[in-house]
Amino acid sequence: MKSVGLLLKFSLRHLVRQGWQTILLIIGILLGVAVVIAIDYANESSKKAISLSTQSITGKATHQILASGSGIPEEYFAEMVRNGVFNEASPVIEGYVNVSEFDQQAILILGIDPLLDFPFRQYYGDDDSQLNQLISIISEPNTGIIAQDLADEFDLQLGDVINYIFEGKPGKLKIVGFISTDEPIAKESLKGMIIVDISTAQSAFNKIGILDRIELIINEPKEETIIKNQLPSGLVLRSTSEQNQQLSNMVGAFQLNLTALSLLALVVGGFLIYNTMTFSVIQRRELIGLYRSIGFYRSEIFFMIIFEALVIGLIGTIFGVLVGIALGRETVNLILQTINDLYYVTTVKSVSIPSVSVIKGILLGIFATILVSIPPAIEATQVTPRTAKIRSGYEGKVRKNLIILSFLGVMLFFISYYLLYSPYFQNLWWSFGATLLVVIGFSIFAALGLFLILPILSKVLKKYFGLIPGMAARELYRSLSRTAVAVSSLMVAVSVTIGMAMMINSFRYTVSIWLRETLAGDIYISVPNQFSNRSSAYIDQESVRSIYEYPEINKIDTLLTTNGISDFGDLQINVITNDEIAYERIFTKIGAPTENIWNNLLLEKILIAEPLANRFDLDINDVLPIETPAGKVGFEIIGIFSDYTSSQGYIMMTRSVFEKYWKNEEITAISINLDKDKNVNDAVREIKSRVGQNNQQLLVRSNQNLRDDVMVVFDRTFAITNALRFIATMVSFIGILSATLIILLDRKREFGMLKAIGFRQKELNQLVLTETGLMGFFAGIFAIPTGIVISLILVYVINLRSFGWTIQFYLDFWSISQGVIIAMVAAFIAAIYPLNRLNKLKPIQVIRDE
Amino acid sequence: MNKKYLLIIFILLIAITIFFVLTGNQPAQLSGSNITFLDDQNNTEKNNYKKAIDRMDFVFPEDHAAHPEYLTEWWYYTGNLLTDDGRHFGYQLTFFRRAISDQFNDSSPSNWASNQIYLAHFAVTDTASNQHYVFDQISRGSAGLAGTSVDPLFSIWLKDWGIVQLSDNVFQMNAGFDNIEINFILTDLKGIIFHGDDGLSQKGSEIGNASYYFSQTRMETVGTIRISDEEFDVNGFSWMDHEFGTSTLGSNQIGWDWFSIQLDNQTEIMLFQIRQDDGSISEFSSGTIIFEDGRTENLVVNDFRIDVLDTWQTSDQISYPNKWEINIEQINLKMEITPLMNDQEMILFFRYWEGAVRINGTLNGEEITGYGYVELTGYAQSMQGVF
Repeated sequence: MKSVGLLLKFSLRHLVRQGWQTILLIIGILLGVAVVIAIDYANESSKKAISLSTQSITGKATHQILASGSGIPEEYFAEMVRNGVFNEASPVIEGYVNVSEFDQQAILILGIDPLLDFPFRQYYGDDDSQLNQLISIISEPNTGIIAQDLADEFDLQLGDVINYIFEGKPGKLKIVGFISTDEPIAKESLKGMIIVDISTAQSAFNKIGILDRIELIINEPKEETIIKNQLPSGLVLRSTSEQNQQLSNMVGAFQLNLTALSLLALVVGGFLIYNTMTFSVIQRRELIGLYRSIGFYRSEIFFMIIFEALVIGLIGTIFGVLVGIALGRETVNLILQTINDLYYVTTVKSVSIPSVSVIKGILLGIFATILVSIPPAIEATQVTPRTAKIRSGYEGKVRKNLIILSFLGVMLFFISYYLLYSPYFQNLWWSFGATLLVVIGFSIFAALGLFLILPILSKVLKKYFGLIPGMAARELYRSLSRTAVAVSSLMVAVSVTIGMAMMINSFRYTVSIWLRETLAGDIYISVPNQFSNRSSAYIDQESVRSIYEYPEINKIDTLLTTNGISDFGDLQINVITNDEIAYERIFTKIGAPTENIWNNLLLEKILIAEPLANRFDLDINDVLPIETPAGKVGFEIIGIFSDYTSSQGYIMMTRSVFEKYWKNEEITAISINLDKDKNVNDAVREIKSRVGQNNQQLLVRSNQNLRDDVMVVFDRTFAITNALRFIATMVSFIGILSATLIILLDRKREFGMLKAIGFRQKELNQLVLTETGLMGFFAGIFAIPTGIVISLILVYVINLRSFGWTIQFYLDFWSISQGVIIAMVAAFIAAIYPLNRLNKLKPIQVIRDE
Repeated sequence: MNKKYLLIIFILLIAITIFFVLTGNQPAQLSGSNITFLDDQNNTEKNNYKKAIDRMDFVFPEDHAAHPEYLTEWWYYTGNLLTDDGRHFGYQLTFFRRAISDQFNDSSPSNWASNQIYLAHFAVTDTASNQHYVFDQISRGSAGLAGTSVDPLFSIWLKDWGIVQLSDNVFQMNAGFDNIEINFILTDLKGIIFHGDDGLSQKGSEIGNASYYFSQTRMETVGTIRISDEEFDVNGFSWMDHEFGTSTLGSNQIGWDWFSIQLDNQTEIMLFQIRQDDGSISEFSSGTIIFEDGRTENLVVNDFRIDVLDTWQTSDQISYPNKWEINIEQINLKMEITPLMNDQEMILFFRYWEGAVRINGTLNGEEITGYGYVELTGYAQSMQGVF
């Protein structure tokens, strides 16, 4: 066993000696692990934030009663209570507000009746001893209680009055109580809310006579049946777990998407490690041969290589964890913002580091490093004392293998095609697995491509550019075992960058085209909503009147956005008056000629957005049953249109149809087409001043402004994806740098010889730069088809499955050229250091060194 | 690079990572929450509630309903009922109303806005199986959850418990919780009985240390009591007390003993004695005799004597009187009053004893029996400030 220790000592010394190489390897792993941890950390935190936010909202309720399309009439609650149908039930009114005293952060105002809500939430103390005092003090209008922590954070005293904005309208609350709790979940969720009496909430949110939700604690199935039997039309009873499931399903796809993208960064890192480890084995063939000849076993050699990988992996991973946590802290806000934009308002911000993501990152980093080091380690065991000195033997073997490899490559393409399109593998993980296989397949073909192209290229270069460029190409061909691995690894790294960039750009392009088609009005008016891009706040009647009185209007349309409940799940209902809607949407499927759509809509048919069609698996001519106060009504789908505003999707129905079933005449947005000769900006200013006199703040935006705002939200949504792309780019840059550097340093003696036989400085520079340039160039070129395929998969399979959006693929030359440029620049930079060293050395020193 | 340094850095990094992992999630500690309130201005001595000072002209059914301008009010229904084969049950259904603020402005447009809290106690004494079932409910007095109405007849309810006046003297009562349920029809045989000075019942020396107090002392009761899967057809008599006021008890008064007695000769007697913190009995203790024909006679403190013959101790050492001898000399009545069950304690939002009792005695030398209800407050906690 002593001999093994000796071998490990050798290998540690080898790592220390190859300082540069080792450090670059460590950085590669570090970045890979850091990205995975950062995303996982951010995902876990946002998941926790969501669960805390929902928990603070749903409390201990087992069930909820929700309304479809409008609120729950409060008489229903009283009736059920008086008839003994509800045992433990708590009505809730809630709204998200901005509080100026709390730095404008999103705060949930939770309106409850403390006497009814006591069993539901942990905020009111352990026993009911404080209830009497609580109800006495909170029943005074416009009072609320907050967490002691929140008060301390913003230096508030009991009796202070806070100012909030709800749906554009200002309001005030007097703080009459501080809750302090040691219960960690309650503590976190309380930081994002103000508890008020239900009467205060009803008047603050203009929901007189209406309840948002009724929470229930149901202990026996019998109770559930009784409640269901007496449930009026338009209301549904849903279990809390079912409710949370809906939310986590939606957010889950988004998070999975991010996790998988972060794993791509690790894959890139893995390729680079593989490249470097393989190289380090090749580099030490003679040494390994020597070890073997003095009696070390094959298994000992194998473990030596794995040990090296372990040491590097461990160091890289540990630093990676630290960097990942730091990155994650930043990322979590980005992810939460996106979740707020797309799905759900979260009020919980700070969450502790989830240890599970740290452990995941550590395991993944070490495991990935060891995994990719196994092939080179096996390779090392193949070295015998006799063959050690003959590199050509190795090169010859690699060439034979290329044939088999190319078969493997074709196989991989078929498998991944099957994974992507077979109905058995609809899960996103399979799609990402398929992407990985495609990438590996392409990397094999990159090697094969080099094998075929390099000899021809060498001749061409020699003919047109002279001896030295030709020699460079031939040199690459001769050492194909190293260059092929390096080039294909780099290719993978660059292709991921290209693929992600193209996906984002395609998406952006699609959204901007779609916006141009969809937004036909000149001016849009809605209630500001800081927490998401979907405002379902009502515009005050007085504001509506003053807008309608504006003289220079050619056409005015209203929109009501409200939530409905269908047999398939929750959905958003957009109630429209615009009879030209069919001309202002891009349909993916349509069941009638465009000119007949409006008439069909008047006949109680509906249009649905593509994400909804995907989410509920709906097609045109299908009937979508929706709960209404008049009972369940089936609406036939007449068309499916593209939409990128939400990944949940929504339906569109005309106001006349809506008002037949629902009692809700409110308006959430107004669009105006001006008289032809009217200046839009002037009109915006005039309308602003008209509505500015009212109590409610309104957002008056020109078409252009609205489009810009939508793009801002879009860019925010893709901020993380962009950040991931950037990190993948960095990893690939470092990879190219280290790979090229290693190859050049390895050939120090060869360059010394060249110098000794009379190569001039300039010629040597030309040789080295051409070689590295070619490597970068090939990596970049092969990355193009790979990148395009990756982005096609991301666009047409993965995005469709995670968001339900069909994006128009957009071949973006800037993204492509970016990849090639990165590859070549990195390769050239890599050449600088070794060239500098070479140039300083005298030939004799270089040769003697060995 | 020195290998030793490398090793040290390595170990350090592992230590840091382990630290991060371990400190990431603190184990959850179980403990409670607490609310600190802004000083409640409503709790001060000075308030704008009406007080029971002058005699009032009662109008019914309107005055069956709530009087929210007074601080507290209650409707007490108690009764002793028997099955055909003589199995005894006692019941109590009480509604309490308490104002939580004297601000009566209707500034909030919400139907939930309220300055009234309703509390209800419901108990059934199953003498045969020595069981006393106790439940309570609480609610704000708005949004249709609890309250009273006269539309056009009287009703009072708290969630699914309630009493509805069906006609001039007929009332329907329903209450249930878990496996215990009562459904009764009550028919008032004697009409409204006013205590004290035509319904103004003085409880203390200060002006306003009084309440308005009237009863329906003999309500024939028929209906069912359900205990788990067993349903009992019962009949017997109930007693209704309706009382309201503000700062009814004087500052040195800690509780009261209250007796409602229904004798088999169709005579009822109401007696209460207010106990003071020095152990003495308040001079404002009083009572009412209701004769068979509905004629009433007031009793003042010296007209009756209540002697405690026995006591009962709860498991936590609280002692309640448990057997009494009552003498009312002016009608030559001597009664021994014995609880039908010892443990009829109500441990709810406040703690008291309220139970069915059996009465044996002599009236003018002739044996007489009856049933009644006794209420004992201030033994486990002072009622000062509660009512």
